[in-house]
Amino acid sequence: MVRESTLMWIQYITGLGILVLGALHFASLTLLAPGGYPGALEYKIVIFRYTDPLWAAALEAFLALLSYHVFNGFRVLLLELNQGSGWTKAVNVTMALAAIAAFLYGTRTILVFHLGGAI
Amino acid sequence: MAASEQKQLEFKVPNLEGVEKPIKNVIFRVSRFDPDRDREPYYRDYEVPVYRFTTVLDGLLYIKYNLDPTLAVRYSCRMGVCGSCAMIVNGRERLACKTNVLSLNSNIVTVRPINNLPLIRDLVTDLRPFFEKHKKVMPYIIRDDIEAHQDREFLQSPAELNEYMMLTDCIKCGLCYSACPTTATDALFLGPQALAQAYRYTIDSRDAGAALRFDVVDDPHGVWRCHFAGACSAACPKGVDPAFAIQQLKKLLLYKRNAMKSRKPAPESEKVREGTSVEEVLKSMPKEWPSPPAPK
Repeated sequence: MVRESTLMWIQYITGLGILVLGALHFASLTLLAPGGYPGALEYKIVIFRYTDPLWAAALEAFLALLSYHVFNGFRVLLLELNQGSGWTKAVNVTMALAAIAAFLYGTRTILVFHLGGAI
Repeated sequence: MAASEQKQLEFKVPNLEGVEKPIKNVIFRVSRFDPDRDREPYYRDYEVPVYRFTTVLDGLLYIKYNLDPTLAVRYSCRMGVCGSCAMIVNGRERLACKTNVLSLNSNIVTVRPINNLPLIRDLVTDLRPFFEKHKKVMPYIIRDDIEAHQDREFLQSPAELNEYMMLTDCIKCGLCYSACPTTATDALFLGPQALAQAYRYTIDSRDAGAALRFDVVDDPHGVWRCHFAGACSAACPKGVDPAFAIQQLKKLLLYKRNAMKSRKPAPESEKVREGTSVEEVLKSMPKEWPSPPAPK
């Protein structure tokens, strides 16, 4: 059983990571995009970002941090809204599975685009 | 004694004629609830004469003894020490005995019981959940040699005392517990009072119970559920800052967990305490306390 302090420590660390990688992600859509914001979301430019291993790695890390931070945050909210050992177990398991599912689905998207194109 | 022969309770308002005159009459809007009759609490108005020194508790006792003897209100010391008369006055958590009616600057004084605790009757709540949580954090010095050294003091420097001194002012009135937004939604949350006391005893240099307390507070409904709203500290009538203590407790758990667990508690003084020893007091205590005489 993981201690609550460990879970919350990771929550704070991932929060800081999201701040940095989130800023980078939004910068990639605006300042760092070739041609600036107007063309940033064009298919070719998006694909270019995904095929670059560094950008893909940054996105993957961003996804990992978000998956943990978001679903642990939901877990905290849900445990505050209702109490009981059954509820606690259900929330813990559901949120862990949801985090893994979101991470795997996001990873699949990043990988597919990294390998060259849309499905 | 038959019920009809029972002597009526008497409460005499001091005769202040010629000395002091009521400044004004104030409406006390008091929350009433009788579990045998009412489905839910309701408000009832009473007109109370207010003097310069009248506190909210004085007003409630005036109502109880002059207007409506069925009003239930819990109080004891009347001087902000016991914490019994904690209630919500004009929307804010306050001690009724410490709140001067005129200081409220209002002709209507709304009084209702504190939040987050089961209501027993009128202004009286059941404090058991609050005290159970207080008990859970082991609010006492824990160390292996405490029984062996009852005749001496454990040494502590003024700086070490200052670490937790502010938190010793807690009178366990429950106002912080009532103000806490997390306690309002999470019934298992330990609450600001218990968490602040957990920190107070853990940081005490004479204590070696950090590991035990960490197990209690490092829980899904423990210290991490505090959102640092600060309502507890704003509500405290004694100037205790539970919000600060809770953040410090989080810090201990994150950065000093192992150091606190392995910390050696303060040594005992070489000097034996003067006066009667605890053993002697215990020996001289009667095994059974004499009971008061049965009422005639």
